[in-house]
Amino acid sequence: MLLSSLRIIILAPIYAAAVSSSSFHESLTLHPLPDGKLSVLFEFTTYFTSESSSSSSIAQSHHSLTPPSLLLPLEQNNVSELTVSFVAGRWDQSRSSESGPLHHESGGGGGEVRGWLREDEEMRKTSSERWNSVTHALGGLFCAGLGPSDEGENVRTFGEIYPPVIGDDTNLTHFLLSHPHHHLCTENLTPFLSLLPSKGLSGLSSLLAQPGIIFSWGFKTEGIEVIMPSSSQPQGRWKGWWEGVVDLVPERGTASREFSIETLSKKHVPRVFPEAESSVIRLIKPKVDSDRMEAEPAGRVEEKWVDGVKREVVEWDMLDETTQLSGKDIKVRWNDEGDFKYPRTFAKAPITISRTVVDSLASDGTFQIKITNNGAVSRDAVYSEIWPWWAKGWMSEIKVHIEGRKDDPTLLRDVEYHPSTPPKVSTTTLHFSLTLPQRSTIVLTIPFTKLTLKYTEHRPDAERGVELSSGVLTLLDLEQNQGSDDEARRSERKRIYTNRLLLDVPTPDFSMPYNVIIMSSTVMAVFFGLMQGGLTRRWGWVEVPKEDGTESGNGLTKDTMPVGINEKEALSDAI
Amino acid sequence: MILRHLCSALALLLPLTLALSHAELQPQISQLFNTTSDGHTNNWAVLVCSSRYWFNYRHMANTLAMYRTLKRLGLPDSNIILMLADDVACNARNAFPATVYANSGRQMDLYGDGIEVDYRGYEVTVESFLRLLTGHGGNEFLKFQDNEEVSAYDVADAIEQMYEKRRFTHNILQYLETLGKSSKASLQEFIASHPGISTSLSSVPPDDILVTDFFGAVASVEVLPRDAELPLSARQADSWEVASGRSRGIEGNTLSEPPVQVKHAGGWKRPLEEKEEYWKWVPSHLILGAAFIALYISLGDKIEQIE
Amino acid sequence: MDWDRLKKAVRSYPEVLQVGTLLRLALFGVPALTNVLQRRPELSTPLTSFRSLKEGVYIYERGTNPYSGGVFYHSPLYLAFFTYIFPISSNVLSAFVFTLIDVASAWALVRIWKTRNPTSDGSREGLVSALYLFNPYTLLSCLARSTTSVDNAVLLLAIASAASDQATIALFFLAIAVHSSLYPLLVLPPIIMLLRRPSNGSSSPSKVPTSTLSLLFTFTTFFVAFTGLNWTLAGFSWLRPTWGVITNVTDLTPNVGMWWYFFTEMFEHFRTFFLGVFQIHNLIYVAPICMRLSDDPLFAILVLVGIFSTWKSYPALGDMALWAGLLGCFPEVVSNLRHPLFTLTVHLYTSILLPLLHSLWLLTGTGNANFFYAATMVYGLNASLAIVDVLSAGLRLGVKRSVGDWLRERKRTPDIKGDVNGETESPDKVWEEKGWSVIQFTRQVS
Repeated sequence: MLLSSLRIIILAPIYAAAVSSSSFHESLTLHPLPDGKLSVLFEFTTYFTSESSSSSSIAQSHHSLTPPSLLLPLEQNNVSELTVSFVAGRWDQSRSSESGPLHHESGGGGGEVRGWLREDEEMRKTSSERWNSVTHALGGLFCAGLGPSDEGENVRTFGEIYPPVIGDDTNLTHFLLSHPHHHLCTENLTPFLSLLPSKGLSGLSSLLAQPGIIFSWGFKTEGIEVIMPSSSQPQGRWKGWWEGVVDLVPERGTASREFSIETLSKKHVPRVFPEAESSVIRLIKPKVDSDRMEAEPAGRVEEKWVDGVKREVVEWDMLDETTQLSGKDIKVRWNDEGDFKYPRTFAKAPITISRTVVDSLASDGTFQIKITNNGAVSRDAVYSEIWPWWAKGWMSEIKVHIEGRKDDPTLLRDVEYHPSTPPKVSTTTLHFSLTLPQRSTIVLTIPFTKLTLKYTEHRPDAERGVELSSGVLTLLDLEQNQGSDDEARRSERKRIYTNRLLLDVPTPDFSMPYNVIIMSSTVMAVFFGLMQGGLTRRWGWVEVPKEDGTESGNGLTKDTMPVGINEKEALSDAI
Repeated sequence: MILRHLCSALALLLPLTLALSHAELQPQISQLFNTTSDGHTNNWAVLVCSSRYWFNYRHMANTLAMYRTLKRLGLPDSNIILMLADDVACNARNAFPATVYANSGRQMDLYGDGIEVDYRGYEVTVESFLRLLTGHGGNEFLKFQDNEEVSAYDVADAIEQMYEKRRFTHNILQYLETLGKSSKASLQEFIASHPGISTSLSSVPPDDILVTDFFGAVASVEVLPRDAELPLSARQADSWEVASGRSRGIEGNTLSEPPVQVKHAGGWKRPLEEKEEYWKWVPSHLILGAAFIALYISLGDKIEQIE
Repeated sequence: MDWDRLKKAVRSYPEVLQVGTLLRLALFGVPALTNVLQRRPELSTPLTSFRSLKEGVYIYERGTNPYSGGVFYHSPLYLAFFTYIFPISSNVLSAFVFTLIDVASAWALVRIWKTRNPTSDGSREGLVSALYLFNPYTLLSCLARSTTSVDNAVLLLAIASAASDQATIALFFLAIAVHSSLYPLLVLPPIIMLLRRPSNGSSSPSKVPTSTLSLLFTFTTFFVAFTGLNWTLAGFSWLRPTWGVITNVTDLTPNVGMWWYFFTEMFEHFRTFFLGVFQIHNLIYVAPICMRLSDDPLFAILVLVGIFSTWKSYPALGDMALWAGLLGCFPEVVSNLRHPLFTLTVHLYTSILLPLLHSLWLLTGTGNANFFYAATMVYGLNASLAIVDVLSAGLRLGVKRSVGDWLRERKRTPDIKGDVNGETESPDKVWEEKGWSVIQFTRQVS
């Protein structure tokens, strides 16, 4: 009784806010993968309007669905769109038969923050300064240092890879900041949950609020995407997502693949968050053998296009009064399957990409990027890379060829190269316009050199190496209309990411500064001393008497040896 | 290695009181802290673990243990700055993800789920540490260095001796874990087991210092109706919210109540009545200075880079 | 092995050139070898590497300024030369160019030799050119297509023209040499001294009056003209990557010099100071050497070339080859060297150790940078001691000559051989027979 009355008191302001058209939607999507794993995606979307979060009221709206700690820095710095994403682990494209995780906006590995900034009419601060304050504010919010440690780390040339969702880029500036060394841990999860209206306590977010379970997942990604309201579009949206890949069967030994909400999260289906306008649990049936999969209780089945493939999706609406799922469990199992057997072959993902470094020298290497197009049509794509300032590619030595054949320069239509400016901290960005022929693999090799860094430019644990941001393959020819024959192009997945790379950096010996100064200075001093001696001291000549005691002819002995630079005078003195 | 230990305020009572007795420092130090006029304590803590890599798990565990203790005794996250140079909880080598344990029995998870790490990984540098303490890049630190009465070598020797004699961290933890929030145990009882510490220069006898006050702070919390406006004078910073569901006990039970919004009544209220005002800031300065000097010594050779 | 035939072959200068050319062209045809050599840091530094030259030309041909990328350090003169005059992308053509450049260097050396010994019968010309062409340092630099070979050729042509009293041509080449690598500026004073020397016996009236000011003016004109040419090619963007890198050492790629590790390990605080120290260390020898060796400017050039080949900011083995080739023109100095075998042996030793320890650091990862640094120290110390040795040998030779002159004046002619002709040829033998030796006084002798 007390609880419910408290709830009314506390939630009254939220009701008030709901009147001003903000709404909260949450969903949980389960997607079994062919190799005995399960992809789990939590999505929380909040729509808010500018009335409920106008600049004058953000500071006071503690009780709305939209967290002021998130929106206030964005509003103050005139940000139009912002995406923060963290990725930990490796997405296996071949074994999961998917080009990437379910949520398409997840970036590459590590932490990444990117956004579009509007122009500042009053010109109080430059866009770089505003971007700095936004990233530092968000970094503090997420307990992750997202800000640039140097202005040169900001990447400005990725505007076409990440076009703005609303508006066009005429008065917007794009910024991207990549921190491939970021890791994901509990301190990033907690603020994420606190940004949600349900705070990880009720609704689907309560399944997420268990770090011990979540961080045992192999692949994890967390992120938010905020689209701020503007004059043309008064409704803003912010979306938070959390996706992970769960092992359904142990690595060694076998077990059955069946799972349920309880086995995944040690909790039953939670009570619905009262303020959610929609709360859905979905199960995407696999591409092959979807009939064998059975879910209990039976939900609503419909067909949807997921990543260019028509899939059967079972949906349970939590808000549906008739099903009353809260407190119960949703079980999924495969009929006629006892223990799971790993398939011999996996269906191919439409496009896969991998990046490695070949060559063994620590100071030089070659990037080898293999892009496989398993579809039946050739695609147009742009492959982009971000390198730190000390990785220098050799543009004259780039080669593209189809695997197994010779070089074919026509595959590479264009290269956009923004070099870094060493030794200032800056980034090199490259955009390669490629044609991906059907059912083939193209190999792009880029030789590069790592410049030698100064003592002070190395990281604290320099011998570990430095992570390189993921490469991005952006597909240019996606079509959204349903009438298209090309199923592959119907996908909404615009970008496919490679993994991060750990680059060895040639390190000096960090214990040696004084020794080096001493030794080099010694050599210099020895040389200088000898030269100075030779140049400034006097030269003379002596006669060493022969052993048999005979004298030499001219009688100049040691006793009468002449001195002085002017040997002639000296000799004349002696004789 | 020894110098990579977590900051232990206790080990540095001696030189810190020396430092504090220096007249020049006191106005500088008191400027760093907002102390309200009605004598509330305002404790801050900086916890640094500067050790990297998996084999320094125990240093991270020590730092987190101190963090947990401080939080349990009432210091809020906003007053604690936690710097961890590496991530062990979510390390691939960790067989129990997102957890850090103090001993093999795995009785208590030190990482938990309410943790806020302010500086992680490569951000933990001497520069960032000094900058957060002094606000501007270490100029005041240099003045400390010039202070004749604080000799880094003396403090380093003291720490080394104490370390070699016993590992006092575990003793501290053990003792502190048995304390409740409202314990009236004084500092004298706490340090009774460490005869190597001299407190002759402390202006306050350890008998009068409450352990809970030294290591933590106690807040009294009132639930206000939503529309109550806080008087401006009571606010020290922006008001903040606490979800009571976050404060778990050691057993790890989840509270299933809905979020309760509270407003802080401004400042901290000490549970006991009057104590003399002059030593109200001693514990906070000691903690801060202890952390500060511990890090300075351990990373001493990197100080030159700041210049 | 027929030593006599070999000796005769070596004496014959055109044959040496032919063999040298053929050898180079043959080895250029082994791409495995040249590809490996092109990447060696001992042979090519970031300022002279062929790979970055190709990259710069590639980017320049596509309409972008190659200097904006920050790793193209070649002078715009080379950029223009290899873009417009010789297409760099053709391997065959570049092989011919580099071979031709080496031959030109050998030709210039022979000219220098001839000016020092006008009455020589040409028997040593072959040896002089062979010493340069078959020096492994030169050969490998040429095969690596390092522009050190080009720099060497230009400098040798400048010195040869100066020795032959052709002031304009000499200063023209010297301006090019200074443009591509700033350090040949150190030999400008001795070259001016060389040009001002009254021509003894040769009757070629130079068209340019030989006053110092006019020579300086000529040099400055050429220098500014080249600067203007560079400006038309790349504006002012080339200043920082070319001369700025030479003076500020912003690129710390390992090489055989003494600078890279020093400035890698340096803290920011002291960087400018030590940069100044290292640069002044080069400059400081010019005046004393020119004053002390004013009677033999070519020898002063030899010593200065040795100094900056060792102590410049980005040296390579090709610079040492230049010095060794010049040394071949001074056989009397070579015969007075105190420890030539030691120098040669240590050069052999470091030429094995340098690539080995470099691989140990970067290829296998079993060593660290200190190994390679130690090898560079040994190389640098050895080269420094060799320069000191050469200087001492030259000074000792001067003493012997002046004693010989003095003795001749005192009419003690029967003891000195070769005295009848008035030549100072080979006083060494005499001195050996007589048991005389030159010494240096380390204290003030009253």
